[in-house]
Amino acid sequence: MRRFALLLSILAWLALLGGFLVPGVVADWLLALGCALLPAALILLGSWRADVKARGLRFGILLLFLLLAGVLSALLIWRAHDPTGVQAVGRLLLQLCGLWLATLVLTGIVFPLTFDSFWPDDGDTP
Amino acid sequence: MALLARPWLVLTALGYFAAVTWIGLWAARRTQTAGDFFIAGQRPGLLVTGLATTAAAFSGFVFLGGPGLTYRMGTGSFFILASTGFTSSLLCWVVAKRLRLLAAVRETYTIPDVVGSRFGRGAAGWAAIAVLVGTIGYLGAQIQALGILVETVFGTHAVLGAWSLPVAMAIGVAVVLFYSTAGGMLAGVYTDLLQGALMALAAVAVFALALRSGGGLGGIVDSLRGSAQFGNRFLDPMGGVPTVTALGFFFVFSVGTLGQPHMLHKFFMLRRPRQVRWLPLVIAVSQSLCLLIWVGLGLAVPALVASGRLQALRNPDQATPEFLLHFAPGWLAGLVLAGALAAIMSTADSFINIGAAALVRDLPRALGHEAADEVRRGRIVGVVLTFGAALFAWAYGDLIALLGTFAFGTFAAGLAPALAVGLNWKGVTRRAASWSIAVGVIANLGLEITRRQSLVALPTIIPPAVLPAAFALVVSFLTLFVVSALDRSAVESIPADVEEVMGA
Repeated sequence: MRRFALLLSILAWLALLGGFLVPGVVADWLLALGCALLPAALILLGSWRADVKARGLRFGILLLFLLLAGVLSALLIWRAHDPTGVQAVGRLLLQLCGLWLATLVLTGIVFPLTFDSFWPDDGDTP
Repeated sequence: MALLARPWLVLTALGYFAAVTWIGLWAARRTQTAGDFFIAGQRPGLLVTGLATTAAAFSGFVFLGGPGLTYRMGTGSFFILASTGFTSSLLCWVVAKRLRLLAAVRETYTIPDVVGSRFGRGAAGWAAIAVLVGTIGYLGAQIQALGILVETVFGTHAVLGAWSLPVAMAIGVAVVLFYSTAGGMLAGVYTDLLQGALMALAAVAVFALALRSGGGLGGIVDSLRGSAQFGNRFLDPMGGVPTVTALGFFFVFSVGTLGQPHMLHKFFMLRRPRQVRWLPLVIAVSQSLCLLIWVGLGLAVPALVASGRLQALRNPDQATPEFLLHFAPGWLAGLVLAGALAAIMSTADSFINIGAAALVRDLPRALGHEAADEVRRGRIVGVVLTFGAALFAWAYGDLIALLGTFAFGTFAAGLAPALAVGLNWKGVTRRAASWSIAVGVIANLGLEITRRQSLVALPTIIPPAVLPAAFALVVSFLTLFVVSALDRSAVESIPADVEEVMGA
């Protein structure tokens, strides 16, 4: 799991580097991918000691961040196809609220549920 | 002077100052040891720690700088906020356990202490430098925000002209220094509890008022669309900035959270580590409530300017005080004003203590010296640091939010890779950590100076739309990997207790 997380994070960082240095539309997509995958990779890295039961949830995290990539990509598509900004604020707020709620699921549900798996009762001291 | 003519505003603000002063004096009497001064004697519980983290993280940046940034660049600035739902759990997932366990096995008061335990004195020294540079930027942003608030409340611009802001900043500095240097972090934590609650309350109230004043979301959109100054571009998904800038904001303010010492520092203070289970939720919800003021005023103030109900702003950072002056009833203006002051002062006093710790503890230890009487020295250094930060902010001369982004980016680029990866993977070497921190800080500072100076013509290193902090964070992380891959010899030299913490 740790190697997978490290590999994923390196890919995300390289995507971000490419996004910052390469001009054009491809750069935008690389940035969106890097922004979404990197937090997922770091969470997987941080919870590498979690037990087997938590693994499903951890892949859930990965899927959730892929959703995040999807939302960011949708914003890029929207920018490309609706540059006039008509009613944009309402839609933007809706999309940001969706993004916020989706990620709040991690904080309010997934994190408390997986907490015992990576920080057991006897884990207050090493 | 119009605000001073409203008695409820003045009474609310005075009531707030009285409460903070009382807490500061109470806390000062309880500050006996270095542990009390730097980590509040590990006494705070879940709610205190959660609200203190929010209050320390959210500052003049959110209450004044945020609406100002949106006024200048449109909805693209909201990408700073988009990650709020998960940054607190990201922190807890990636670093909280290692930090708390390390504090249990070693004397750990500061982030450079952590870096020193894992990577040795050289890396700890670089971490202290990163903390110092970021602290000066962050503290400067708070002082600048405080100055703008004081300037508005007391109407000093009409009397003092160009000297108004420096004088207003000096007045604010004096108040912050009083309770911060008197009580240290203990004062900070308990005043933060009051401040965090007040900030959330004020933000929710002003959000509702801002939307109503702007004519609702539909009215705001109509006003902005018809405006020559703002127009459709303001409403674009990325606002008035290129995609690379908007996503750069998202990137720095999500992953970069892992390097923020004022947030990480709170994990040392937890009374019971099991509280971490619900800590992210407390932080995320309170932060989300506070951010409503940014969204509300960021949209409403430009709309009010566009519709002619508010004069075009002399400085975008005036968005919050100008709105309060013209549209809020006295009691609400007083509450929001106190909330904004709370945000600024809580962050400022956190940074004074963190910066003082870097100078009186971390740098001397990295150089092999043990400083005597750290509490007394910490208080003296805090005063010097605050005046230095005020001068830096004056010299920077741009929006609060941009100065805040520089500071946030310095912490992110300097500390996030070494902490997030270094505490979870034994393959990171001492040399790699030192290089990563040094490259992150120097790259961010260098790119920022190169971009802002006009004395000599320098080649462009990165495209103008790329945030220096975002680029520096990527380079810092890649440096960590590359140097670790090239330098495998030091892997086995991790101290046994630290290795146990990493494996727990």
